[in-house]
Amino acid sequence: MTKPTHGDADSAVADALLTYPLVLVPPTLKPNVMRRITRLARPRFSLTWFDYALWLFGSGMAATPLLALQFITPQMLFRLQVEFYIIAQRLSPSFLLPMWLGG
Amino acid sequence: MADNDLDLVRRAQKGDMQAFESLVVKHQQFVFNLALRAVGDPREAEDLAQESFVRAWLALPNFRGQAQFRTWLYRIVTNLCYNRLPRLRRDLSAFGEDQVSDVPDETDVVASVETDQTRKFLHAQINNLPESYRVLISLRYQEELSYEEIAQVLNLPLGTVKTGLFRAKERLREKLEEMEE
Repeated sequence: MTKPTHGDADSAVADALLTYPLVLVPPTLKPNVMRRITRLARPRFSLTWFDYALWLFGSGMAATPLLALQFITPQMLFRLQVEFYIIAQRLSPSFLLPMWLGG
Repeated sequence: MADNDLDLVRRAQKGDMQAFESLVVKHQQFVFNLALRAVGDPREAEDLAQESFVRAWLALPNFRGQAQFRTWLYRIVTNLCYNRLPRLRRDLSAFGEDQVSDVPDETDVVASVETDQTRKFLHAQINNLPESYRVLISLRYQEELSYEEIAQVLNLPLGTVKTGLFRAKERLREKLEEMEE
């Protein structure tokens, strides 16, 4: 066999590089990617019935004392204040200390 | 083509999974082949390609569109390849930036009809080249990226890319001459 010239070799190499074939993609690649991405899909912000229930409960709790104050009579208010002072005097400061410290 | 990519990317950024699926369909062949040229094993290449697309999905909000989507995607693939094969980065960097200031483009070479035997032999030789050469060949001749784009994807100097491709061709020429003797 005759030795190829430099130009022949260049030409053959160029041809081989330009015709270097692509390997077929495995058919499982795309489905596997999409499955993994679906699992990772970023959660969108949405409200559920529980959020509404919680909101209703919180609003009710905040509104109850305000509504109660509207209907309380001055006599009842005075009595509540007296009861509060009596309880406060009966409790010793040593008993209240952990409460004040948050324990 | 790139405009279409950008449109699909914009839709995918808003959470449109069908748009992302179209991007996967469009780029899976090259992503898989690039991974295959780097790792050499089809199963590992599939795993790497999968991981690349998942990472692309997660990083999609950060894609601003300064680079082409495919360049950005191939960069994710090569970074994963670098993590799995630390020697790949080392080998690519080791090419240095000597010689080649004027790499003849293949379009300049007068194409002659090569025998099927020669072509098959050279294709087999390309498969036997070290992974650093195979990655360069895949990006240049299969993905048809410019030298500048390859440098960007592989995070290498332009001269290193040119030197690497020059040496790959030289090796193939040597193999061919050995066969012909």
